[in-house]
Amino acid sequence: MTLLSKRIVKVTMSCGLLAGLAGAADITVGTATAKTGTKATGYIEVPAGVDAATSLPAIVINGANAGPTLAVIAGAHGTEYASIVALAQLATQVRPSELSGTLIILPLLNVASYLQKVVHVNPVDHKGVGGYPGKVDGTQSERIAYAVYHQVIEKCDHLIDYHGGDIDEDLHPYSYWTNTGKPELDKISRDMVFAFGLKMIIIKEARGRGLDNTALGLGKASITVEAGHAGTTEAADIGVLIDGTMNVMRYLKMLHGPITSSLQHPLWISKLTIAKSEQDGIFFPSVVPEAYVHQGMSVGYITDYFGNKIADVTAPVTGVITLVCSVPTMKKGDNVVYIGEIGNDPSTSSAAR
Amino acid sequence: MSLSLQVPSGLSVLLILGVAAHAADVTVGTAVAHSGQKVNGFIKVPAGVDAGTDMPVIVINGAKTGPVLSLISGSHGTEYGSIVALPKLAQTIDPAALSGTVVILPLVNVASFLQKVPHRNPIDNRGLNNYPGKADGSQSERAVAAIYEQVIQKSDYVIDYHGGDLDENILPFAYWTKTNKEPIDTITRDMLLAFGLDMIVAKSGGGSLDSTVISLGKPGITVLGGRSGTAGTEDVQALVRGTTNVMRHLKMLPGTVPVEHPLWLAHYSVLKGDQEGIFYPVAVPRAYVTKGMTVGYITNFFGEKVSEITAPVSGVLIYINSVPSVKKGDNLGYVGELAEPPIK
Repeated sequence: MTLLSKRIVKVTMSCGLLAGLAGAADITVGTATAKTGTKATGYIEVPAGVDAATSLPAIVINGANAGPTLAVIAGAHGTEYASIVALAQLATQVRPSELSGTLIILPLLNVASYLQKVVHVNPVDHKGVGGYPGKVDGTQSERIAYAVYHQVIEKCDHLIDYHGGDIDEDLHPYSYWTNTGKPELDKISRDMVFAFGLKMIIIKEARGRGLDNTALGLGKASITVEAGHAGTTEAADIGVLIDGTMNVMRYLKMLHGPITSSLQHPLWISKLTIAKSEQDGIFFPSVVPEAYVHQGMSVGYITDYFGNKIADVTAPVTGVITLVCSVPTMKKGDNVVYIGEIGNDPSTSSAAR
Repeated sequence: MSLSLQVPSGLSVLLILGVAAHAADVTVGTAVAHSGQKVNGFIKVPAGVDAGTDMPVIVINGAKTGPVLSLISGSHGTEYGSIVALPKLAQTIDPAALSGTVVILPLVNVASFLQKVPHRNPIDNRGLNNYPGKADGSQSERAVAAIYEQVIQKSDYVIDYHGGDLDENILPFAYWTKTNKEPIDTITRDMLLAFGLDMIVAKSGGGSLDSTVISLGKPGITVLGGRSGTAGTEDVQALVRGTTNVMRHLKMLPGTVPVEHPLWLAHYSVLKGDQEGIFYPVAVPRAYVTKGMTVGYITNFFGEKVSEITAPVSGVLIYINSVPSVKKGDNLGYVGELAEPPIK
């Protein structure tokens, strides 16, 4: 009871305070329109085109106080469950009265992948949801990207893209940080991955048309984070995603209070190498995520359907396992493991501090 | 127990004819095993209205006479526990020590396995379990027809292997198809007791593989191990050990079978999703639930609870959906009612 009445007082006060401020503007994303100090839910409607329409759930939390707009986006791969569940839970935990700025949450971009339990692609057009800025007259995945680009990426100041191990992937949480070579931008995004607090950071080049690099290309400091694995939604994985997001919001001064992550010396990964299968068969991993492996070492083996070993998969480089195939399914060309080569903190070799 | 069911009819005829039965070759698909040999090959399903497929087969032709036992797995190609268990089992069987023949099909739905598509064959979007199949149908129907003609009709006993699929959390259990006819119910019950999984769910008929086998007068059982994309050693070993014990029980291998006291269930009810959203289970497989109790709930994508899934009857949770994905009409679990053990 005490808590509730306090909250009501706070909301009333902030409404009064904001009556004449810039923060009083409504924020609209899709069908969700949030007045200052409120939360609204709705959908970004992607109309039918060459194929079916889709509706992307969107939550807009319009803070009582002025501040930046942070977009948090999950579910481009609809069966990377931990981040989808984490963002839906985050939506219920952020109080508009305590927020400075706006939080836009898209918990699930690829609804068909989620509902049909189809790994990696959108089953409607068999494409990945990405390739920003998308195409207004393309297939469903391209129209999703178009809508997200125009209705969210262009409107935000910062962006976090959430991924994780898919149904067939085992990984431990890590972040991606893009080295754009622009010191001011790189410093902010570096501070964001530190605030998020995942202890392994993979350095990316500013290439490709993914969410983070697209936003960075528009001058908006952005990162990608990964947690969860193999169809699971463990509390620890959901927890690091929610805590990390709250800490980034504290860093961006959208929430009060000190950053609770204490990341000082993350493991920096300078380059990722993927070992692929040359055979169809049954895969047995012999390493786990974060294992340190030497070049030439066996990281798993493949048997035929009769139980005979037909291939050893060896590490192409020395480094740390960042991802392992978690299921017995293995076909020629499939990813077996990702190995990250250990690099230096970029702040010691560039201007990014 | 009737001896006629212990000795397959084909071999009985050969014995009557005075031919050394164990010397006969056994052919399944491209695999031809002489007596005392283990041979790998494929059952070729030629292209028809859609693509062809090759189903791996292992034929172990024992040095001594005995029945033909067929082990069939992977009609759901992402139920990995049994797909991994059967090749391991094949490696452990010594043809010299075997009486009779073991025919192993570790993976009948190859496209489901390779493309990681749960529940169905992505080539024709059908399940691979509608026996006797159709020789001129789509790939799943042609595969089923080939298994029916080349394996089931030649078998004396059949075990169908399943498990929790990518989206299903289970602990190992078995299905007993009860026909109310003797001696077959006693034979299948004893096979299940020999297999030794500690929960058995009684069911009646249906289009499944075991009921097809039983309709031909051959004992057939279904066993499940593995869950949610995993092939854990405990689950795999439960299937390998159980199958070995059935072979001992059928006198195909030397050794004795431990007596088990499983939990018997009957009349299972299906829990269904009534909303699209995010599913959170709150009960685990094998939990005893009472009617009306919450076993899970659904939130929308905004994090708000929109539905509670309750147990329609009191009983034991046989399986529960293991992933957040849920849409209206999806199965979310089975609740089986406790039953008396069938009298031995």
